[in-house]
Amino acid sequence: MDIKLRIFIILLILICLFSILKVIKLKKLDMRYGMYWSIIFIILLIMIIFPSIIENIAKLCGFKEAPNMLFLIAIFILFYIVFRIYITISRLQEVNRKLVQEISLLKEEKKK
Amino acid sequence: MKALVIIPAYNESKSIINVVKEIEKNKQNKEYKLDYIIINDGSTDNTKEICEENNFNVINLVSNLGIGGAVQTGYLYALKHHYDIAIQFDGDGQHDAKYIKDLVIPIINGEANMTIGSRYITDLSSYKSTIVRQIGIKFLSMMLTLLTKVKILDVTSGFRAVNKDIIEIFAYDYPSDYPEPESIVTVIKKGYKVAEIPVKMQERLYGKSSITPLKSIYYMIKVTYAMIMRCLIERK
Repeated sequence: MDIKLRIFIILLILICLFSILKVIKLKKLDMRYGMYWSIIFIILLIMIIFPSIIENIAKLCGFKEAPNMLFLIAIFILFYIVFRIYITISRLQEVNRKLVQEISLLKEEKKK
Repeated sequence: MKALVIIPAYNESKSIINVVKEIEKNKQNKEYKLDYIIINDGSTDNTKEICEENNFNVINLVSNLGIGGAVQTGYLYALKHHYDIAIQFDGDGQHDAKYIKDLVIPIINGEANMTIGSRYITDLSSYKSTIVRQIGIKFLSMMLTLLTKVKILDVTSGFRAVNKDIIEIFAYDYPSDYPEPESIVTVIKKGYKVAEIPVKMQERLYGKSSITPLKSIYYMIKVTYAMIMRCLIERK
């Protein structure tokens, strides 16, 4: 890969890592999710700095081109993240419903 | 001085009566007035019924929040009722109420802002957890020293006491899972003094530890990450 392109991508990843730090600091992102994203970016960083690692793994798994494997992995990871988000939303819906019911019941009790 | 014992309880129906009894027994002293509050974290057993039958002071969470959210509820309660000191005390009978005084006195005397009941500082405790867990705790303890230059051995101890300032900090911001080591970093980075006090701990009689072997690797990564992040974002 072209050295200029690599430096550009590395800078991009560093900006992403810094942004994660910032949103955690502002309490906009839970530490747990911050960790997941940080791990993804750190793995990306390692792959950009040592491209031979992915090339060897791709060869081992029988891919003709390393980028094919990367796209496949990326799609799977994104699918998984979306799936997890749906699970989290479902749980939040459930808790939210319980809260609305509980508060409404409390208000009703207070009236009497 | 008013002190509050915060007892997070999730499915602790077998041990909760004993825990409260032990705390009641160790209430008498001149230096401070001791109350307790049980935070029932949406237990699925009859913890709620037992607490209500025995007229225990209890907050029943509508939904399960996890240890961090439960303990934070206790800190919110302490803040609302103007307690000077809050003590965290497990609902599973692991901790010995005799040592509450040892944790509170250094805070009253101003020797520390937060005290941690430690299994490792002297040989008081015969129960020191498994070898693997001890190695994990040792690693986290080294991380803490590296990040904050403060040496604390039992970083995962859930038996701790804090003063009014730290009650306010924790009521505002407390980690949701595996909170102990992370919150120590927060406290130190904010410029408060943390002291370790030797205590005796028992092996839990009922219930399992919240950390299974499978989760332990995730635990180590999460806690290490959280400690580093806390170190980067917290300022005095």
